[in-house]
Amino acid sequence: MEAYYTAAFEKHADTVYRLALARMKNKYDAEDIVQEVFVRLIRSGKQPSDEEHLKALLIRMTINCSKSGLTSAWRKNTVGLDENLHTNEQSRDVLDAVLRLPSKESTIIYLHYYCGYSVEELSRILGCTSGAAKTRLFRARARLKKDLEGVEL
Amino acid sequence: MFKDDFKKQFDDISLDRDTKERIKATLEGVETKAKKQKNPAVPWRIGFAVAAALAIVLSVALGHFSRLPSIAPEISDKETVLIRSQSYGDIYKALEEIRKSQMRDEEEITYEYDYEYVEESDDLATTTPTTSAVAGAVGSTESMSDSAADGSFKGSSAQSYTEKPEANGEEEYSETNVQVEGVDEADIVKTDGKYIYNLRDDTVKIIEANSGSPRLVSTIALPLDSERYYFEMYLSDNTLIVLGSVYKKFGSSIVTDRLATMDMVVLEGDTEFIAYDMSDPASPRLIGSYSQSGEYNSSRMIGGRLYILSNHSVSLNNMKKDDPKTYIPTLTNGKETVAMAPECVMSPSCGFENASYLVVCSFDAKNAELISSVSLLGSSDTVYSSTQNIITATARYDGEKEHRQYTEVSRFSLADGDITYKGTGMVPGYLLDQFSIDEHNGYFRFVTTEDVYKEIQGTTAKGEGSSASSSTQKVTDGESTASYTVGSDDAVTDNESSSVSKYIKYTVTTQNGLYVLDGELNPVGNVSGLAEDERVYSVRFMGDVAYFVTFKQVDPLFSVDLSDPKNPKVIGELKIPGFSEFLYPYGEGQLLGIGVETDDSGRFRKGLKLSMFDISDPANVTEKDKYVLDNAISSEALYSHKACIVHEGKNLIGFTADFKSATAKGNTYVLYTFDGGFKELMRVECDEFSPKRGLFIGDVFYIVSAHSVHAFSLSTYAEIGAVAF
Repeated sequence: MEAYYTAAFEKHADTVYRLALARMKNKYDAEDIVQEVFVRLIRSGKQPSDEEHLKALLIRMTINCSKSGLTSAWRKNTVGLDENLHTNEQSRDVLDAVLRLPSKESTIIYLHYYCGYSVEELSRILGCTSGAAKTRLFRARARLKKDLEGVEL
Repeated sequence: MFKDDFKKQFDDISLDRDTKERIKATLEGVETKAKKQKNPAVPWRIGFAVAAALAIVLSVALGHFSRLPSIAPEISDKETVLIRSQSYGDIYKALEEIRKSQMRDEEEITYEYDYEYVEESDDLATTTPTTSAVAGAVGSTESMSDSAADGSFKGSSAQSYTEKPEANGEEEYSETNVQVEGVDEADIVKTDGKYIYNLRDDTVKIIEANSGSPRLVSTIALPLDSERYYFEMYLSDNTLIVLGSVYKKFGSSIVTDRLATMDMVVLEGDTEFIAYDMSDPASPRLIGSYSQSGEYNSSRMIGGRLYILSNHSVSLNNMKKDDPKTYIPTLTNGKETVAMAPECVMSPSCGFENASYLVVCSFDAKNAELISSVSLLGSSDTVYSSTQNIITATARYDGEKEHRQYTEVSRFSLADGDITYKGTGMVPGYLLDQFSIDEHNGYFRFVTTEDVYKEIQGTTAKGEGSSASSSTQKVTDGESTASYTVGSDDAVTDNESSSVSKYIKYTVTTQNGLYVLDGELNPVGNVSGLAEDERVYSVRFMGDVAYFVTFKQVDPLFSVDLSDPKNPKVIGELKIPGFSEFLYPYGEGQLLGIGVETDDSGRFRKGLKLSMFDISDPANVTEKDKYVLDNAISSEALYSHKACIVHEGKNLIGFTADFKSATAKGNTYVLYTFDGGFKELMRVECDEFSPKRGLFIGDVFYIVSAHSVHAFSLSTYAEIGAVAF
């Protein structure tokens, strides 16, 4: 593996994993998607020099990979992973609430609050109109707010 | 703060070291394709120009947000009339107008997404009732139909299940769970009763069911030139159709601006399908492919005719007047790319604000040939199709005046592949999903949830405590939704002497309604204002009756009589704990709900729930039986109807379930039957694989995962065969 991809994996694997998790709701599929995304990146031969570009590319690839439902051909069935998803059992209320959202909403919440993308940027990255992105964010927030009772969003 | 907690808690999640190492080891073996493109094909100068221009787009769009409750107007004139374009020149001119207006209107980017807007005058302190206002029942999501997860199940009221005639010795088998009988929907797994087709990434595995001893007969390696993603497929008379996106210029330029980066990543996407002749499943033969501009949204297959809907954005700054392909959606048949004819492009008579197109094309599946194409300036979120019409719906805001949400709906008649645009209308509120739309006897019906903003002006006296407040509070029990009603003005005058502060407050409540439109999408009748502070969770139209579930704490199942389209009437309401995310007709006078059981407060989720409603008297619906899967926290069945099998003929209900206690690495597949009460037939813990779909052929049930097909006997429920690949 070229040094570029090794570095890209080290730097962005978790970003991809978290997004995949937000969409797939289980770590099993999310891990598959991480692998699939990086396999695709390497296969494409693309090496964006700009970090933002690389990140956006990976996010878009993650969304596309998790859209197609079934996961990677490269996945091995032998991995034993019994650890809990969370290391810190005490404070996972927000996380759980986000994971309970339907994929489209958890995706937009993750990209907006965690990755810091604006609505306009989200519309680009999700390939929808800014109106649709707004609606989605609006509903996701409303649902979260209700779920978390009174949390300031 | 939510944001901080969220970040912190999400930071806690990471790939564990072993998994990381395993993936890295796999990546070591991956080679860059030979056809590696030498870095940027596009000179960076151009990239830069795009960047600059897009920055402007951003500032305009976000400019709206700095105003009031942060809901931007998208179109102000609801009475939009669409007209056939006369020439490319007309369309170009209109798009130019958009571009110019965006250039003119430069505003600072301040992105505030706050529901609550409090305008203070004087030194209003914090005495204003703090409203957690908005919160409430607004949410919903399934509606922005994930294009890929856009589903299917059978038949409105009819017993839709495809029961294949056993006449010629063929066994009965299950098909994709679709909304309307005769209108197939794409999915990742398809079967023709003999072979199971499994789409995963860039391969299709063809597995012979072989009466419970499945075996792999062939594999289609889908094309991988340029960046491609495959989403779902159809199987029709030995023709396999695989739908995907192709990004021809994916990430191929150097850009410095973040937004331009997004643009490069996304804008170039086309929707493509590839057709294979499967007459001999052992050796699939490529028929051809076709692509249309835009991101894949949804599709349907009706009698061998394939309908594909995509959303295409125009890159306003790359338009060239004498090259229509730069601003008109294009169609590519494998050899050449042509811009759609101007008369196929419908544009609003009064100009439009979004430089995007909804592209609808029909194809003859058998030979992968285009039949007709129509494009509309606009876009679509939710797609419904009967055998005669496609309805597209897009969420809109009217932010300037009333902060109201509405949904723009358009109709296209199909006529065996000949698509004709028939008109656009609107309904208040937003839709949940494709099941919120229905066609019956020439009328189109919509169930929506609406967020209603209330502007509240009031005054608060400083230092006088609560007695001085002019607002009376009405907080709904225990919920974060609160609505405030303004007290009489007298209260204010009483306190004139003390320092009085004025405030304007916006609160949001939700309500639900059902709207009936005619063939031209003009309003005919409605029943609205239902279930305040709740939102729609699931909808099912069954001929003259519509059923829908709203939820806050308990789950009212409404029955609405639609026999007089001008005067829909609520005729029944059943309240039970929990909610149903999907409703499926299940035999005579029965409606199956798949959803979630909650405790009485509506907050704690106990597990997945199956409900069987007796609807033999729509005015008096009862819950016949329910079955709660304790500790089952999630299921794809809550998000996509395609993920379940609901087969009344064979009396089978199956889906994957994710149990909280899962030490299992994969998911669990559960299968039920209903005979007066629910009975669990199988609970298969899938340690080594993640089940995705279940189907039956004859007396064998197959659980299909990304890497395997497992066969179970429907008499003993024991595993009788499996194939891994």
